[in-house]
Amino acid sequence: MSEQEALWIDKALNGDDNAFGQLVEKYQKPVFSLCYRMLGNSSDAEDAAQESFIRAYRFLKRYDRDRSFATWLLSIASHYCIDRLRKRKLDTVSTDVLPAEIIADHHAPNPEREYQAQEKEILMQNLMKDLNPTDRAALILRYWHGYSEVEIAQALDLTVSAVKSRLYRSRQALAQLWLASERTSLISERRPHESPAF
Amino acid sequence: MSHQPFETWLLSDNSLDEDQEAALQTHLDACEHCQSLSTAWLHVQDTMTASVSHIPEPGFTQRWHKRLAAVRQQRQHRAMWFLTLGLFALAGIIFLALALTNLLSTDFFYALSQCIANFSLFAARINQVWRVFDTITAAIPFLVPILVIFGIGTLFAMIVLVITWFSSVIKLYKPVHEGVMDQ
Repeated sequence: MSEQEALWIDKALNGDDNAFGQLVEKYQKPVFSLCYRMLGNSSDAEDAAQESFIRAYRFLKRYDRDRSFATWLLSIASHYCIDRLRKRKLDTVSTDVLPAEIIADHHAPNPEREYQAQEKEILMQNLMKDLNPTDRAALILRYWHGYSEVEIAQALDLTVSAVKSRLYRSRQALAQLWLASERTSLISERRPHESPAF
Repeated sequence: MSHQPFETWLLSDNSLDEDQEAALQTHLDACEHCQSLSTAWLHVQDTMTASVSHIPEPGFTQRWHKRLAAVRQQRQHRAMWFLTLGLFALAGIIFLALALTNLLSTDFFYALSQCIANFSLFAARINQVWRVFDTITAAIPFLVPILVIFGIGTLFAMIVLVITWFSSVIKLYKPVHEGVMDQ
């Protein structure tokens, strides 16, 4: 943790909202990104990220300075998103959100590439929506935030072996889902050329 | 054909030694299942690294400050309700305790007869006052409209006071979302 961060935390502990605001400013992107990947749409991600920072500020006294502040924040956000997914038991990607989000940004330097990236993003969200919320959180922390298995274990209150087994299970499930989605798209591509059955 | 330990190696984060690599490659050349699994996992990894990164809309921190203020106000509002309910509950408990103590320490029938006697006395006093009032108004007739106006005025003032009291209580407990959220 940098000296500046330690100073902000000290000030925030004394009730300085602006000092914690600096921490919000610094960590908004990783927290929002995690929430987006967990919940699948911007509005839920915004709400979850805001709530995670509110909780972090409220329980700042419990923060152990020997641990990374970012890991602690992402741990709060992960637990919040896991609880939210368990409560809602809804699909990660809302079908209302998909069409709007796949539209390419024509002002981007390379709209074609942007479109492909967004398409891949939606494909990824569709694959991940069937995963157990804790498995999903472990996978996101591993592949999008570059966390080690030990850090994931700390963030999700799991043992390292539990993280390993969850990650293995998630990779296996994603590969199987990928194969299944390929098979489905092959069938749907063939159908238009098939001769009618009657 | 057994797919272990090759499936585990394919999906593991641990790096393989040379012998394991060679064994895996030999197995992949012969096993279609593991080959398709390997290709699928490579595609998934490629998709994960290629997917777009998500950032919040500008003004995230400002929105957080507003939310913090709203949450605090909500908490304060809830605390006030708990305090009010607590005070009412305390008053209720004290009242019940006093009533119970009184009931246990006195003879019920004696207390009832005392109550009836006091009520009769009160009715007699009202009757006396009414007679005096009747005598005065009969002697001085122009006092009647003045007393009627005074009575109506008092009633109206009481109604206004009650309305003001209720509106003050409502205002006190109403959360002020507008000022916080629209800043």
